[in-house]
Amino acid sequence: MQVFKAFLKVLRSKFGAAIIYIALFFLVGILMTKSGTDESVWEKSKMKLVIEDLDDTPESRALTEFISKDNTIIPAFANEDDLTDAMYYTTVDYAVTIPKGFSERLAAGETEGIFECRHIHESYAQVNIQMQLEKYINTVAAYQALGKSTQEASQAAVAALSKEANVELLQKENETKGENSELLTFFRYMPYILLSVIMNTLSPAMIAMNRKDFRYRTDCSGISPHSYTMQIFGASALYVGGIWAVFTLAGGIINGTMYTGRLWLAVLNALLFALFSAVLAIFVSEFSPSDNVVSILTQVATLGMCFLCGVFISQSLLGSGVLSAAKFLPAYWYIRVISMLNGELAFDAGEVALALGIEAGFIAVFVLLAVLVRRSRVTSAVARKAMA
Amino acid sequence: MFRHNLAYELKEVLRVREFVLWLMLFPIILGTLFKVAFGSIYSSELFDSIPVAVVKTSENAVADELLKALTEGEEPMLAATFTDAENAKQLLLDGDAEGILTIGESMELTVARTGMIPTMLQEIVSRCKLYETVIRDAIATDPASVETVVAKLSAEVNACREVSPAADNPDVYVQYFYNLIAMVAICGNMTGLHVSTNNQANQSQLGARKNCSATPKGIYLTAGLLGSCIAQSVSMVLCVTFLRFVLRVNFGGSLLLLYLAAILSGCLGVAFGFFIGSIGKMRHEGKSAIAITVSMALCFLSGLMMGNIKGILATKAPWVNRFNPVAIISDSFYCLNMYSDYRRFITKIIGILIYITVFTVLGVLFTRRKKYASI
Repeated sequence: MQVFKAFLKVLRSKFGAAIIYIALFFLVGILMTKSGTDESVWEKSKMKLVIEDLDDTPESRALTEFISKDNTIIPAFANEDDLTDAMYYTTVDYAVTIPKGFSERLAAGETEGIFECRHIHESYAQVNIQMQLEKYINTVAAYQALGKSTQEASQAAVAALSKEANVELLQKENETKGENSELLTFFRYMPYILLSVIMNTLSPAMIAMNRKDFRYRTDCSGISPHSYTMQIFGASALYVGGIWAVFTLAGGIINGTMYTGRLWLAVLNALLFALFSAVLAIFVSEFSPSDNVVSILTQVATLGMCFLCGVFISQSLLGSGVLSAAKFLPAYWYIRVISMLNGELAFDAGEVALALGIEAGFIAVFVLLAVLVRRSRVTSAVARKAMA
Repeated sequence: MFRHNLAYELKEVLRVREFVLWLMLFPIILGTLFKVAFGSIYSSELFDSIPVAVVKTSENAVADELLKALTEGEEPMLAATFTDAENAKQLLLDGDAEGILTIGESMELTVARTGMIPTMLQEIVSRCKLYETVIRDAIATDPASVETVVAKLSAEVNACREVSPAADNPDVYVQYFYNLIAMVAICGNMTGLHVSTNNQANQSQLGARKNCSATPKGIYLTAGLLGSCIAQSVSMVLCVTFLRFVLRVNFGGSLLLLYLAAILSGCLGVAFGFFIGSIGKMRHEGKSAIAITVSMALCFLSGLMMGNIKGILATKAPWVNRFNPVAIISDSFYCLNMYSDYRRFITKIIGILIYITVFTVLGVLFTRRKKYASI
C-alpha cells in the first residue's frame, strides 16, 4: 500500500485549493436552490417593480394597490445609478413614477405620458406592465364616462380589473414539473464544481507521481506495474468517491430532502460525471504539463463546457447549432438527464439510459486515450534509451 | 542599470510559456466559446409577437374585436393561428404556440408552462372579462353610454413617458465579456508572482543571485514590476482587440477608455500577484495555487459563471461588489457602456488605482529588508 499512501499524501497537499472551490459551490448551491419554483400549478409570473408615488392621492394609491397585487414591489433606490444597475442586472424589471398632479390630469382626461417610466431591456415584462398601466387608465376613463368621479372610477376600475381569467395548465405526458426542483437545481451546477475540484487537484497529484525520479524509484522497487496502477486507481477512486459523496450528502442536507425514486438517477448521473472528471484529469496529467498549464486547461474545459452545454444558461436559450456541437461533450448529456428529472423535458427512461450510457462511453474513451498516451510515451522513452 | 534590468525582465516574461497561453490564448478560446454560446440569446429574449393557437367554438363579438386589435398593426401583440382543438393542443405541446385561446361564450386560455409570456396571455384574456364587466355596469347605469364606454376601453393611450437611461448596448450578456477581460486582467497575477519569486533568495535561484548582486533591490524590483505591467498591457490590448474587432462584441462607450481601463486592470492583476508572492515563505507553486483559486472566486462573485450574481449581491451584500477588485474592473467597462457621463467610470478607475497602490506597497513592505542567513 506504499503507492496508495504516497498518492493520498500528495492529494492531501493539493486539497487547500479544493476547499475554496467546495465552500464556494456550497454558497452557490444555497443561493441557487432557494430560487426554484413549483411549476405543477398555474401561478402568475411576478414582475419586480419600483413604484414611486409622488402624488399620494386616493387615485394614485388605488393604482399602486392595483399594481402591487400581483407583482413584487422593490423599495425605491437612494439614487438613480443604483436603479439603473438593478434594471440592467434584472433585479428590477421596471420603474414607474406617479408624478404630482396625477389625479388632476386623470380627472381632466389628460392621460398622454401621465407616468414616468424607466426600463433597460425591451422585454416581455416591460410590455406587460405597460399593458397593465394602460388598461387601468382605459378602465378609469370608461367609468368616468359613466358619470363617476375620478376617485369612484379608480375604485371601480380596481374592482373590475381584479376579475381574472382562469388558466388551464396542460401537462405533457410523463412530465414531472416542480418535483424536487430545488435539489435538482443544486445538481445542475455540479459539473462545474466536479470538473474544477477534481482537475485542479487530481491532475497535479498525478503529475507529481509521474515525475521521473519518483517513477524510476518505483520501477526499480519490488512493486509490480499492475499493483502500482491498481493502487493509484484505488486512491483516485477513493478521492473522487469522497468528493462525490460530500456533494451528494450536502445536497440532501441543504434542501432537507431524502433521495427517493428518480432522484437516485441524479445521484448516479453525478457519479458518472465525477468519474469523467477524474479520467479527464488523468488524461491531461499524462502530458505532464506544469501546474499553471493544468489551471489553464481546467478553466477552458470547465467554463467552455458549462457555457456550451447549458449548465450556467438553460439549454432552451442556446441555439440549435450550439446544442448540436454540445452533443459531443458529456455535460450536455448530464444536463439532459437533469432536465428530464425536473420536468423541463418529458421524462423518458430510455432517453435517460441513453444519456447515462453516453456519459459512460465518454469515460471509457478517455480511459483508453489515457492508456494510449501513457503507452506511447513509455515506448518512445524506451526507444530513446535504446538509441542512446 | 534600470533599462538593462527592464530589458531582461521583458525577455524573461516572454520565456514563461504559460504566460503566453494564459493571457493570450485564453481569452481567444473562451471569448469565441462565449460568442458562440450567447451571441444571439439577448435578441431572442426581446419582445416579439406571441404565437397563439385560436380555437373558435362560437361567435363572441367582444373577443373577436379584442383579438382583431391585438393581431393587427405593425408590431402586433399576438401572432394567431386559427385551428381546431386537436391541432391547437399539438402546436402547444410542440412549443409552436405559447397558448390556446378558446373563444366561445367567453375566452379561455390553456398554456403548457408558467412564466412571463403565459402571464401576458392571461392579462389579454382577462381584458375580455373586463370588457364584459364594464359593459354590464354601463348597461345597468346608462345603456346609452355603452358605445362611449367601449370606445374608452379600447382607446389607444400612451400613458408611459419614457425617461429610461440611454445604454449604448443594453445586452445583459455582454457582461460575460466584461468579466472575461477582468479575468484575463486578474490572471496577470502570474507575472506579478514571478516578479516576487525571482526577487526572493529563498524562493528561486535567480532571486538568490539577484540578492547578492550589487544592483539595489529597488531597481530590479521596479524593473520587474514595470516589465510585467508592459507585458500584461500588451496581452490586455490583444484581448480587447480580438473581442472587439474579430468577434465584434459591442462593448459600448469609448473604445479608447476601454483600452485604458483594460491596461490599468492588467496592472492591478500584476500588483495582486506581487502582493501574494510577497507573503510568507510558502513555495511558488503553493502561492500560485492560492492566487489562481482566489482569482477564480473573485471572478465568480463578479458574475463570470452566474451573470445575475452581481445583482443578487447588490441587494444582499453590496459591500462585496464595492470591494471585489474583479467586480470593480468589470464595472468600469459596464459604466462606460451605461453612463454617458464619466463620473462613475472615473470612480471605478480610482478604485483600480487604489488597489494597484495598496497591493504594490504591501508587497514592497513584505519583501524589504529581508535577510537570508541560510537558504
